[in-house]
Formats: sequence, C-alpha cells, structure tokens
Amino acid sequence: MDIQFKKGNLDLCVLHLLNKRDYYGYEISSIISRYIEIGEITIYPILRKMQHDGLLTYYLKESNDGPPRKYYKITLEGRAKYKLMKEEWEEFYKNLTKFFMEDHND
Amino acid sequence: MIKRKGYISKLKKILKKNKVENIDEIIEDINELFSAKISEGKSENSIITELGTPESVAKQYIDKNKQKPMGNLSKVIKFSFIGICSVFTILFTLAAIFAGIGEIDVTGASVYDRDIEKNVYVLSSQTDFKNDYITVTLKNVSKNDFEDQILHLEYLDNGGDSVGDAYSEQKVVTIASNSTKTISFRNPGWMYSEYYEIVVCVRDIYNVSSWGTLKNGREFVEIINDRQRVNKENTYFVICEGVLAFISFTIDIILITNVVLQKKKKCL
Repeated sequence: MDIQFKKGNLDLCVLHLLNKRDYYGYEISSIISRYIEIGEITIYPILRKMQHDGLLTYYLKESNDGPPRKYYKITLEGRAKYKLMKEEWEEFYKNLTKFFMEDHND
Repeated sequence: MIKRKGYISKLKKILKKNKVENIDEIIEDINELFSAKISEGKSENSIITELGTPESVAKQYIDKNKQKPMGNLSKVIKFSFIGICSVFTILFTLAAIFAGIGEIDVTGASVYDRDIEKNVYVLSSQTDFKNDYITVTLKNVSKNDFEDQILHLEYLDNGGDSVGDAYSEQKVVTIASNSTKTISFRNPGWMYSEYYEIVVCVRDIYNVSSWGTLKNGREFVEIINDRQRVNKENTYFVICEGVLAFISFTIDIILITNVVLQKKKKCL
C-alpha cells in the first residue's frame, strides 16, 4: 500500500481506537497491523506527535509482567479532531465510491 | 537480556552518529516494544528478527532527520549572512555613488572638475621697490574659478634656489573664471630685482606649490596634476566599491535563493 496514502489514515485509525478506550502503544500497533501493514515502530512517533499536539495525554499503569506501561488517553481536543477527520474521510469515501460507479463517457 | 541490551546500545550508537534528535524518546519506545512483546511470551531473538537490524530501524528515523530543511543554527547563520551582505551591498553602492558624483573624496579634500585647464596667466606685473610693493595682475583663463588659493612671492638667487625665508606676505586670492585681478604684495625691503628672480607662488589645498616667474604674459599656475591624481584615485575607489558591492550582492542573492528553495521543499 502506498505510504502517503497510509500515513494520512493512520492518525485517524489511532484516534478511532483511543476514542473508544485508553490503549498502550503496542496494543494500538497490533490491532491496526491486523488490517493495515505497518512497521513495528511506526505507531510510536505518531502517538508522540499527537500527544505533543494536545490530542492525547498519557499515564503510566503498572503491569503484571513487566515495567509500567504508557497508556494513551484521548483529550477533548482529540475527540473533536477525530470527529472532524472521520467526517472528512467519510465524505471522501462517498465521493470516491460515486466516482468509481459513474460511467464517465456520458 | 544481553541480546536486547546489545541491540539497544547498537541502535543508540547509530542514532547518535547520525545526529538524530530525541534519541531518548526513540529508545524508550523500542524498550516499550520489547517489554510488551516479552510479556506476550516472545523471545528476544524473535523480537529482534521482527524488528529488523538496528541499522534498518535507525534508518526510519534518520531519513526524517535529513528531510529537515534547516537546523536552527544554520538558519541563524544564513540569515545573519544575508543581513550582513545586504548591509555591505548598500554601503558599498552608496560609497561608489557618492565618490562617483564627487560628494566625497578619498584623499580627504574636495574633488574638482575633471577637465582642468591651465589656470592663470600673469598678465602684467609692476615692481615698486621704492615703496616696497610688487603688484601683479593675473588672469584666469580656465572655466574653473581660481578659489581661495594662497599666493605669495618667492625670491630665487642666480642658481634658482629659494632665498631662505624670503617670502612675501601671503594673500588669499579668488579669481573667477575668465576674469582678472590685481594683487599687491608687500615686498620685504631688502630685496632688489637685480639680484633675485621673483616668482609668484601658489600653495594649493594639498600644500603643493606651483609657481611662475614674474614676467608679463607668463602662465604660471599648474595644479592640474594634483587634481588629476585626485580624480584618478577617486575613479579607482569607485571601481573598487562597485566590485565589492557586486560581490556582496551576489552572495546575498545566492543565500536568499537557497533559503527560499529550502522553504519551498519543506512545504512540499
């Protein structure tokens, strides 16, 4: 899959998951990579940037089998951004579908 | 544990070598990945296999870094140079213009017209030793005013050498272009024309004397060479400043173009 195309939509995927509940980095990476082929470490810089931009916050939670994990939590701003991105994507998807269905030789 | 440690330190080394930013954050993420996978039950070996070599992991961060158009320091340096070159260009250009139009002079004196002709003729002279006066009529035949020149008389012996302190009083004289003027000098009483040749001497602004013998119809002032010297020096000055201005300007343009292109790259 084309990298540029992928990159734009990964943010949306991350927000989609975090909009439902808090996750830690590896979880997000695992879930998404079931659907979209991404590198092992691709997700981490994305999460950092979003946290930096105020869309997410994080906290540490003790885990049974290892060091404390960094859990990400979506902010109000993040939710707003998710809503916006989702709408834009749906609009795009709708128009693209229309485009593919049309017979352009009219 | 050792495999992981070795992997992490190798990765760190490569990142450091390539001057990647936020290395600590990157290592934190890798460690998190390791921990998460280990708790899933994966072995260090398989984790490393899935991750890839430290070089390939580092590459993902290095490329991003290289795409960064300008580090802060190089930005500061570039903009400083642009500023400096702009200032120099303006200064050099102004200097060249002012020197060129004659407003300033590199030798520290005012610049005269470029085509100077021989200035002044001794039209006539009269000596009145009885009353200790020597009168000289001068005509300015050039198109420049003979302005504020300091005249005096000098006395030469047979050998043509100036006789000691035998100067007359000094007179400041201005003769407009194409006009005449009569000047009287008080003769030091003991000078007699039989023994001495009397010359009219003018000292110009550069303190260089020119003189002409006190004989009727004899042209005498010739301070052309000094003025030509000034003009020549000014011309060299104008050329130098012009070249410097051009060089500063060129460097300026190169730097500005460089900055603009990099900014464009960033936007794309």
